[in-house]
Amino acid sequence: MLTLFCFQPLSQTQLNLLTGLVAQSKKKIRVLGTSKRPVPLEHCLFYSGELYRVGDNEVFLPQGLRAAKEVHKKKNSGMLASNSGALLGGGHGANQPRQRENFSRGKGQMHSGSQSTSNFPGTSGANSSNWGQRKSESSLWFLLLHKLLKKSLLPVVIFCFSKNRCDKSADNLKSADLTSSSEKSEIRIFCDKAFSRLKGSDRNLPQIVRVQSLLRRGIGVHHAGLLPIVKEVVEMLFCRGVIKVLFSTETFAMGVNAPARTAVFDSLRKYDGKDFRQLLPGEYIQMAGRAGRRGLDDIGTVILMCRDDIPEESDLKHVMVGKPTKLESQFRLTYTMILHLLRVEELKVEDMLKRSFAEFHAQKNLPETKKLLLLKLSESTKSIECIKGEPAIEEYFEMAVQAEAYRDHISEAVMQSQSAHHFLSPGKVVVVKSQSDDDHLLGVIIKTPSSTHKKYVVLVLTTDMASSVQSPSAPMNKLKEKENSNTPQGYFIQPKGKRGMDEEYFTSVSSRKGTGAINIKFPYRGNAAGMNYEVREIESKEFMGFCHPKIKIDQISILENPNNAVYSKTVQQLLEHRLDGTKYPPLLDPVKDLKLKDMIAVESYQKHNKLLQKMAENKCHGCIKLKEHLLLLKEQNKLMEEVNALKFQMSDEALQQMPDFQGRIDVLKEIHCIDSDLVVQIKGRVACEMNSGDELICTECLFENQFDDLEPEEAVAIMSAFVFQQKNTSEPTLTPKLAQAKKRLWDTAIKLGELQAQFKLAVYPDEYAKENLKFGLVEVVYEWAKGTSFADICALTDVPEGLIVRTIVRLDETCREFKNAASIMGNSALHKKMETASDAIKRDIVFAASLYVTGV
Amino acid sequence: MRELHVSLNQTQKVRLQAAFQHLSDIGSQASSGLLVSVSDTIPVNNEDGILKGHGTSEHDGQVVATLCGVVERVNKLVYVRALRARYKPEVGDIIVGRVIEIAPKRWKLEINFSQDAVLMLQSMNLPDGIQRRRTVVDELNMRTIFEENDVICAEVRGFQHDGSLHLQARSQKYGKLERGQLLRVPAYLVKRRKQHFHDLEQYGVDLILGCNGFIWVGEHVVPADNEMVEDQESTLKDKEQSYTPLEIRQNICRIANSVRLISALGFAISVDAIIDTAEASKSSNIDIKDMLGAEFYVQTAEREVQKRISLLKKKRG
Repeated sequence: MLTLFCFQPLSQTQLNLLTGLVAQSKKKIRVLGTSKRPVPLEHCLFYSGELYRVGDNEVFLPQGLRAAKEVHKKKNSGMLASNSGALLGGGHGANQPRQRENFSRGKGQMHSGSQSTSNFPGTSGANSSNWGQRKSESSLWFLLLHKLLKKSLLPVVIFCFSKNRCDKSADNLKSADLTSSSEKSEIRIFCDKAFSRLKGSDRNLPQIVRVQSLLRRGIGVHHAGLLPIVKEVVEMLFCRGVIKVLFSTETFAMGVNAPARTAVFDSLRKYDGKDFRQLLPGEYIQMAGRAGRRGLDDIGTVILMCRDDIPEESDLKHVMVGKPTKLESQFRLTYTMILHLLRVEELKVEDMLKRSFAEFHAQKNLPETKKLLLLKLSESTKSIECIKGEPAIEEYFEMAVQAEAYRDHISEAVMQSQSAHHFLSPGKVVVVKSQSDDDHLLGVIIKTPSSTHKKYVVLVLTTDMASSVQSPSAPMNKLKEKENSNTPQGYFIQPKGKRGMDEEYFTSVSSRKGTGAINIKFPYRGNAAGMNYEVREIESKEFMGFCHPKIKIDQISILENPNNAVYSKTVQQLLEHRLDGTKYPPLLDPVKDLKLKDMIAVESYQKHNKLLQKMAENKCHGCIKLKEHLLLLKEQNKLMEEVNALKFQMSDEALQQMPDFQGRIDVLKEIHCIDSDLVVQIKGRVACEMNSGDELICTECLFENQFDDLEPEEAVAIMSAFVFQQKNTSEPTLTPKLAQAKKRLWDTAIKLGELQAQFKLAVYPDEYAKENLKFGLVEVVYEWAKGTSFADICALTDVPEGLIVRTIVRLDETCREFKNAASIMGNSALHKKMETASDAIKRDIVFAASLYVTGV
Repeated sequence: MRELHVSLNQTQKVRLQAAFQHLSDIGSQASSGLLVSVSDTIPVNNEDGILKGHGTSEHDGQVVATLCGVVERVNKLVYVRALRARYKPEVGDIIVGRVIEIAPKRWKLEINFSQDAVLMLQSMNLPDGIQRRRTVVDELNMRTIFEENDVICAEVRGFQHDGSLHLQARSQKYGKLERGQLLRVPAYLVKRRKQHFHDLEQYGVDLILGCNGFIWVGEHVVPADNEMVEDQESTLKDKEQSYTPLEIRQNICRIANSVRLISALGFAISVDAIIDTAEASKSSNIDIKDMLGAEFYVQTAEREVQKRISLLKKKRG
């Protein structure tokens, strides 16, 4: 019995997948769920000061979008007209939109009461573009705020998809003031209380001052760049309802339970670390779900900001009511995980891989595969009853298969050789491989390949055997015949499935085409002089060998004007070459006659001959049931192959992650984390402790004693490279000692990257090092550990304060891990160094206790 | 474990001495590691910036061993692996221990370590197999799971901040061990391997080589399924009524005596060695009680010599 709580909106297919996965390990599972939303949602577009309803709960309403589009069209054409008007010299039209803008701003400012100095009504629109953009941006927000205020849809959470945008948008609302005086004092008291726990200098950090001034006016900002304490203040004030407008990033929708009446999307596109993309339906739902406070609002409003363009209907539909993305396995095989699993006996790594969601589909089918396997196994019990008592048929079969391979090889070589080509002229008697069995057919080349016709045309004598093969294909012939009769140029009529008849009926077509045309259909079968024959196209590799004799043939009459007399003449000629007893005249020897020179080909020719000899010696060679048994064996071999394939599917080797896993095991062996029996060694145990940084680089750096000559402050500064995560930062200025340590660490990472690449893991040394070592905060952490104040270290870099704090907090974790590692290795000096380092960074604002824990 | 007192006659003494002589010769040929005793200096290039690990100390600018053992090097780390030492637990070790005390929410186990190990009630699978919070009732019923003097098998979970050692037993494999013998051998004779649980099918015997030097030889038990909660009680009663067949009892004794013998000779204890010895005793018709006698003692030593010689030959090709 297991209770699994899942508060994510899931589609039915997703749910099925998830429960299936859980049910794999736990047998009983019951799913309870509700699709009811306590506060329904209303989706709107906001365009040029108006709200257009485009969605109601789960239903998309196209008419709202249409209305918005119409306005958009009108406005554009109006703009165009006004522009042209302006060009014509009348400033009248150009003034119009601006006037409206000013008007609305005036309204917005009615509440603010303060006149912004930055907006002079009547400044010419032809200012610098930046200025104009900023102005329009802020006016847009004012427009929205005004609308929301009028409809009493505040408080509102506005989702912007970058920290920068959040800050800028909030700063744009400098002139807005949304709080009453009693709220103002509440905010002031709260802030003073919360920030009183900080040291004097920290209380005047630019970020704290700026956010405080915003908060007082009822505007909040929330993103990862903020100091943790500031974030907490914003969250708490928002929950109290005194903040009316909150600009935030996506993170606010995830971790904090703070719903608002309205949620606004700044845009429908976001940057996800790689490129700009459309929001996913899941993300949209998560963020939109912030709208509507339970018990306070009847309905939650979700607003999409439209600046210049109205989004396409398909895009809107996609995010609002679209199918959620497929569930994907986020399972990543890491070295730490492998090591942890290797040191306990209970669970094998392979079992772990099997249970991951990535393998779910393959594993789901396992019972069926097992059944199929059992079925196949039961089939293969049929045994060969050898009439000679001692079955040597397997051996014979193996030899036959091998001989076949050799022969293919030889004939390929022969066909490629120059000398073979002049043997392959029309009229040459050849031996052709038959499709049905290993009996070969005698034939004569009628036509060699040309540019239009890629295959050889050969007339072969088919045996009785072949004719029996022909019979099942007779219905097909009939079909073809029908097709032919439909077309006006039916070339021939075959005797309808009456094989063995001496007489043939041919109707030659009067229209005679130029030479080289082929007027018969392949394969063309017939019977002449008591023998069945067949004219067919074959590829060069189907030739078994050539014979000496050449016979005269009438190429044109055979191909163009099918005449029974000509055929029978050819067949008879061929028959003459068939000596008594043997089936075909002696073949040309590839080495002697065809002057085969290729070393490998000659070798395989000799091997082939030897094999044939051996086969003849085998007692099965003369057996009358040989053919039957060979066929049986062939079937059995096929079955065996299938069984093996199924077995492979069920084995651990078929797991998708297996190659990756093997590579990683090899890497761990190579750096002596585990020994050849996969028992975890001391280095592996150290690597197990490393969770905050890349385990391999951390371990290697420890075992190379890279911190030996560094002071605790320097060591912790270098360690910041493991935990810091932002990619592009200002280049820190480093002391020579730090620069040297940095280079050493970088080289280690490159070496490890190369090692992993060598074992065929998808790792690129340069990228690997860049991904796992980010030196952006080395200087900052060094100064912090030396006791510099927080305000000063913020000035050293362009990294936001919140990230600095987070990095240093995580760094303390890393120090602890390194301390544990030191005690595993038994080095007390390193242990002490890490302790000192940890103490040095643990102070002031960075480690200020959370407001949630201590209370305000 | 009590020392084995073997009274050897003159020829046996000579044979044994020869065997040990051989073994020490082979050993000195095979091992390349540096053996040190306390206060020996460990040669290192001081420029190297080596990392001093366990069993080393700095004295007058030189690295000095503080333990008797083999010097091991991993990259720049130099440490001394003690040859004979008390058991030192590592995370993931499988150990066999004896319950000595029941404390609030925990059992205390004697595991041959410098302190008692702690098995918390919450790191134990409940008998009904349900994963839930442990209640006061569970706490009161702890004695129904393990009592004082029970022998149990568990896994080392890790060290707490206060340095105490915590165990866990979250699988059907772990838990109470019954119907068998507990043997105590020096911990250094048991090496860490991939497998410590062994099911010796040909004897119907389970063998658990605890990393702490406690070895369990007992009747083979089929791990019970989680789902059969109701059935378990009835089978429990059945089990009490049933008894271990004589043959299996003898097998247990034979295996146990093999372990005793190997540890008395001071050879590393592995499944292969144990089975090998047991088979040898069987094939040369030695009674279980005579396995600890002088003749087989010497024979085992001689067989070990043969084995190592052949191994050495194979290595050299």
